[in-house]
Amino acid sequence: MASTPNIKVLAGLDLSEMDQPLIKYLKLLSELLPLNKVTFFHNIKQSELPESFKSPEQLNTIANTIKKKLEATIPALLGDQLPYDIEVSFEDYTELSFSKMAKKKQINLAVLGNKQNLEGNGGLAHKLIRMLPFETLLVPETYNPAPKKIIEAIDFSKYTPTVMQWGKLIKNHHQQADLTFEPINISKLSWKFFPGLSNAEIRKNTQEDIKMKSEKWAKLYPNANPLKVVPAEDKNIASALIQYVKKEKADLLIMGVQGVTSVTTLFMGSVANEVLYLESNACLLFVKHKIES
Amino acid sequence: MLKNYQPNFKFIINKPVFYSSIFLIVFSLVLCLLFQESLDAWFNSTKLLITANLGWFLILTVNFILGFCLYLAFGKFGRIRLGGEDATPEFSNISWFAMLFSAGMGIGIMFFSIAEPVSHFAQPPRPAGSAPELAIQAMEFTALHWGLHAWAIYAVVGLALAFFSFNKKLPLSFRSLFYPFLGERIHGWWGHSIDILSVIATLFGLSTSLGLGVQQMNAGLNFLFGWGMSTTLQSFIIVIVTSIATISVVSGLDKGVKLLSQGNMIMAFALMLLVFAFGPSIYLLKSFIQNTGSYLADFIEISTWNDSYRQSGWQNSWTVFYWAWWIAWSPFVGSFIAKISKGRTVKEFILGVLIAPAIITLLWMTVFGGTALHFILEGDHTLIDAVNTDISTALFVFLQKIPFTPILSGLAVLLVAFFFITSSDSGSLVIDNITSGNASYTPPLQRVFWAFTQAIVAIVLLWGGGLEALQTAVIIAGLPFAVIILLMCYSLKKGLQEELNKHKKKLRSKQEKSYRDTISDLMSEQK
Repeated sequence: MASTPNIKVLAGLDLSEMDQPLIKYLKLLSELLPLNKVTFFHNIKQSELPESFKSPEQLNTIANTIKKKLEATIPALLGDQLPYDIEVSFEDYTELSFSKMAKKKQINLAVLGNKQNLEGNGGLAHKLIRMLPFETLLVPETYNPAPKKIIEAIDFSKYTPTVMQWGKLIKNHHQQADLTFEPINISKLSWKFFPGLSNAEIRKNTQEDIKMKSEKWAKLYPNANPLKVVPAEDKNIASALIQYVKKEKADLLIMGVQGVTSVTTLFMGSVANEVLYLESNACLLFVKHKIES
Repeated sequence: MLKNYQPNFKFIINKPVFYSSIFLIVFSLVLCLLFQESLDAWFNSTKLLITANLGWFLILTVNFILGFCLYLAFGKFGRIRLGGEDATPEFSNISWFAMLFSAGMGIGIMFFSIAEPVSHFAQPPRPAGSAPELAIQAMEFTALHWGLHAWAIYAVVGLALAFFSFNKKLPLSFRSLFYPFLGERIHGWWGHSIDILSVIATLFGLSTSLGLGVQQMNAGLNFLFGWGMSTTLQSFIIVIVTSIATISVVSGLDKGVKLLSQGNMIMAFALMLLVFAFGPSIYLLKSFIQNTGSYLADFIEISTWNDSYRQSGWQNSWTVFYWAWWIAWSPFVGSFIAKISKGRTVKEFILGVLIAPAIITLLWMTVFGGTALHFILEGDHTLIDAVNTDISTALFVFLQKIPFTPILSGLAVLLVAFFFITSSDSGSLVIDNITSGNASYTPPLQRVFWAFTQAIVAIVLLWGGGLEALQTAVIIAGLPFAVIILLMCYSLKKGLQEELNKHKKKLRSKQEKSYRDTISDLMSEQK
């Protein structure tokens, strides 16, 4: 990167208890990444409103009321360092309203809540991660306000350089003391089509896989931290990844939106998709593109 | 090269199971050798005795098992998840289907895909009017034998193994399946007896497959190089191929065997695609749809048909043999599908195991059997002659009618050999697991021992009476195991019921006010 990119953020608010921690997190995020501006955005879910609220005049009034309420709440939580604006829309489909707003504001990072204990199914986040043409960061209300560890999920796919680039961007910008970075890979032995592998053979093959990947990593990224290869054992890759994140008490996981098996998982759900369903106190950054300066 | 070889000759075994199984195997082999002269007649009369008197029991059992599977899938147990509420599937659906199919397919589909429909056409189970009607009936019965019933047996055994192992944290072993009503006695002689029966069923089921495979390899080599058909040559092939299979175990060439297994799948699909492309493709597409429809339409009728009024004896050599064969294979296939199915719900598991592999198997049978019947309906009866003379030659006589015969025949021989190697290797692992009391490590030599035991049993059965002996052995082994499976169904239901009773819904999420209320409150505040 010749120069530091300036990141424009679109933060999705849903007027629930999730909003407060999300706004606070953006303050923290500005210490991790070079943020240029944040657009706080809410789309009014018309389908869930009582009939009497659905006239255009009423919707405008609701939009203005929400805007005012957010204007009153945000400064106390965000502080005065980060420029921001507030947008409220009333589209039928929230994902489309996000798309339009992102285009209008030339956004390059969406930040959404990832409810762990609060009610919510995370359906919107699933859709947005797939359809938005830029990165998405999911923030749980249980995030750690003093991040110590960032994990870079490496699968040697086309997204790996992007994951590394976002890691580097944080490394260059962060102001957190003791923040560490660890690239990890989950080793899942493909024993499909072979019923007869004994546990000892599976162990041996896993060891070979670990050795092979570590060597490949050292060749590809000689200056990066050494790759930690974690055997998935009887878990799927997503579960093994999240289990490691929990074990290490990591605060942010950076991963590609699709892995090496994107073709076969196009219809069945990729590792990224499965990760979304798992409980985690870490923030999840799903990357798609290399950052342009 | 022998990097994995460990000079550890001390076997790790569960003594009662290991020695009793060895005793029973040696005892049956000694009997075979002592009464070699009269073996042929003995196998014939025993097979007739069992199938004529107890065939109905096997037919009833497999129908019950299929019904039981559907009851579990669509009933209240369907939502129980293998491995607990929070378990997630280890493999994607596509990988899982591929693995399920590779577990169940093997030498059998090579041996019977041509021979069976042709035989059913030539010697029909029931009289039928015209040749097309005979052909439809032949495909229906082939579908019956290779379709939902076979996979239901694997599904119920696999489900029981997975449930007791993942949810009840018991060892992945047959004795564990009886815990709900045997309790701690599963660790005593009750448990040992169940494991011994599993070993015997698996061993004879595999030996039958190996016996069939080697007969077909011999037929292929005869067609390709003119080598004569003889039991001596077949015994020699068994020893050679088993030796190749065991090299992988002791020498750390497991990567090679893994390649072979993946090669199996690729070669099998290549062979099927080539036969489809060079054969009557449009007819095959049409007949696959029709065969599936006829199979489903007549499903209950053919599933419960017992030949009660004609008593032609046809069913004894086919349907009863198949049901016993699948039952004998079930410990082998069941333990594999259990291992790969953690995180699936009972419903997902049963429907996945029943439907996906059955459709692919029926597709295979249509491509090969359907093409063979197409030739016969066009007036070419050489395939009927081949099946009547020697059933193992059917595939190669068939391939003579397809372009690039030498290449396809060579591919078929190689495929059978590959299936032989992987079946032998995987089968010896399953038997080794049971007889070692599920030990996490056993010396490689121990697995080699079981691979060669299977080979010896196959050789003795071939000398004893060929196909008849192989079929009888599998029926003798499968019959008691059918009783075990029925008991297992009861035990599984009991276990699932306990799980359901324990299952309490936990509300993890904190109740928040609805979006509608949020907006309403906001507007009221404004006022």
